[in-house]
Amino acid sequence: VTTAVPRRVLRLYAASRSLPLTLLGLAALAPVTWALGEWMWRLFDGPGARLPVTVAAPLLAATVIGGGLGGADDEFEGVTAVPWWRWRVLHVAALTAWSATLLALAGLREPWEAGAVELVRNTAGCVGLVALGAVVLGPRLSWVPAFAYIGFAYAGALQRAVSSDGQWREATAWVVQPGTAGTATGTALALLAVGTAVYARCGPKR
Amino acid sequence: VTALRPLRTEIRRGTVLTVLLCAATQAVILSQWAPYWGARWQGLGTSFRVGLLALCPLVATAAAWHAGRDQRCGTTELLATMSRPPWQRVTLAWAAVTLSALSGAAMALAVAAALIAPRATYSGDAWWALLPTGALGVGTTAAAGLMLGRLWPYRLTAPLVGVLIFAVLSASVALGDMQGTEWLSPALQSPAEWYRDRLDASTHLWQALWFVALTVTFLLLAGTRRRLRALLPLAVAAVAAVPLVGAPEWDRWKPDAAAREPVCRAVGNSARVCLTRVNAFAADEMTTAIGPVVARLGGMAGTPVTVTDSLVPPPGWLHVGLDLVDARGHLRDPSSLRYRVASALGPNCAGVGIAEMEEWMRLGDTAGALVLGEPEAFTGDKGTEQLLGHLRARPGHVQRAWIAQYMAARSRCDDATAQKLLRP
Repeated sequence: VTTAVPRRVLRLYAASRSLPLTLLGLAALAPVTWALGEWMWRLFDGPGARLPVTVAAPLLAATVIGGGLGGADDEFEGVTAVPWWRWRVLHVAALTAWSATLLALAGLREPWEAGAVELVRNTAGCVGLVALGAVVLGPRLSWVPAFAYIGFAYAGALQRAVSSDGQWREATAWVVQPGTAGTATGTALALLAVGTAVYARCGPKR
Repeated sequence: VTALRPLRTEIRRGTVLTVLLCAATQAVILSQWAPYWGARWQGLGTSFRVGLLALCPLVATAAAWHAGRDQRCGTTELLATMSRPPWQRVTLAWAAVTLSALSGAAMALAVAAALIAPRATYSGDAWWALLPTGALGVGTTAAAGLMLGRLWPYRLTAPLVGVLIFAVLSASVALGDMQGTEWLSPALQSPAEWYRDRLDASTHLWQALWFVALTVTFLLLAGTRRRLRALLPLAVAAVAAVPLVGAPEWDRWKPDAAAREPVCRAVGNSARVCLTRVNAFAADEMTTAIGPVVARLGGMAGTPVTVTDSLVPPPGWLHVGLDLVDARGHLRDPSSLRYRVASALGPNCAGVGIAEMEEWMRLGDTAGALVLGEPEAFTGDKGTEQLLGHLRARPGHVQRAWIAQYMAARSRCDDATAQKLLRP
């Protein structure tokens, strides 16, 4: 009985968050990422041509994760005697690790030049943004902050606006920096930590 | 009137965010490319079309989100009982999203137009045709987003549609060089010269037909049960696509001869600054910035010197690029143009060996530093510094004679004279 209850809760939790579909979606994203990256490498003659893929694939992964950051009735779950913050931390951490690992496998060829390193870093940062989006806007619109940020960063607006200082530019436009940029990696990891902490503490918007 | 009332309601209640997002996106795009449209109408039209790569995915996302509204509100079955046919609701939603997106973009474009109007010196040859064709393309992406949102009402459809449209447009633009697919996309790759090239009328017409036919196809697929009806507009779209992809990309941007006409201004007795008509707005600032250097160069070279911004300068003219313009049409860094004039004195001889090219570069740098009167302007190469030190120790008339010989040798690519000039 003692093991049956958590197992049943786990199954209900997975069903309420569409976890099987999310895991499947993230798994399907990896081969697509690899194929697109290889195609762009061949088309434009270099690994650096994969930059759009290293931005779009983590964004899509985070979007898929964000869709499952809330249940069918979060208000009802809130009145139960369950330490939800642990579930939420575990949920975000496990899905981030799963998607980052799969995407890293897709970018193992030349990992430091628009490859695995950038894919892992951008996945972490995007999931952080999406987790914050789930708290502020709800799971259904959790992708909006990540999309808005990446749209502006990719258009070069952030790079240009802060072009005077290298460190500041790396921190603000982290998603388009090379894998060797330490400040960009730090910013993405900080976003993941803050996003996870705020989501664990507050939960999704009801 | 009865048809306009629901449209007004749609626009008032559901599209404020789209207007604001599109206005902000268009403003960011225009701020990025101000050097290409500052005081130039053709540049504004081209910037709008190039920027659609960012605006269209946003519009498609908004349309897909809009399409899922009925399901989110749980009113799908209630709406199915209405007498109004579904295609009317779909068309209203499409019109609301398209009009709001275009209104947002128009706000940013209007600000840019207000900045251009007082300074522009060339109104262009139907430059504005880029705007309505692009607007039709925005309508097509809105229809695509609406169709995908209605056919696949999933909670992540909206962001996925945005990424999908971005990927499709990027691929069609990127492959444009090889397969001409760029002309099927509302977004265009920037031409070689943003404000001195124009698209021919037939391209605009074929694109308009392509976008309209595709929009009708998407709306029929989204709003009717008899989807086979979409085959007719799809066939029209296919007919329009054939001439669009049939020609290589660069063939469609044609040089605008009137925009490239030189407008000249004398600087002293021995020099001229000739800007292309589209850039003539900067003539005063340019003459003030480089006039003294050009006049000195004219006096030294022994022959009249003409400086131009044309990318294809007539023989003997010096090319100085004019891309440092801000949104108000003023030069951003006039002082740097003096160095550009000096740099333009470099060699332009094709087919010489590496060693000979180094020697020509040394001569060009020395000439540039003498004309500028700033010995430190072209330092770094020991040979250049020695030659410059040697010449600066000689009287002024010897320096002028050296420059005149260099300019003559440069125009003929005369290696023998170049060798002599290296050891004056």
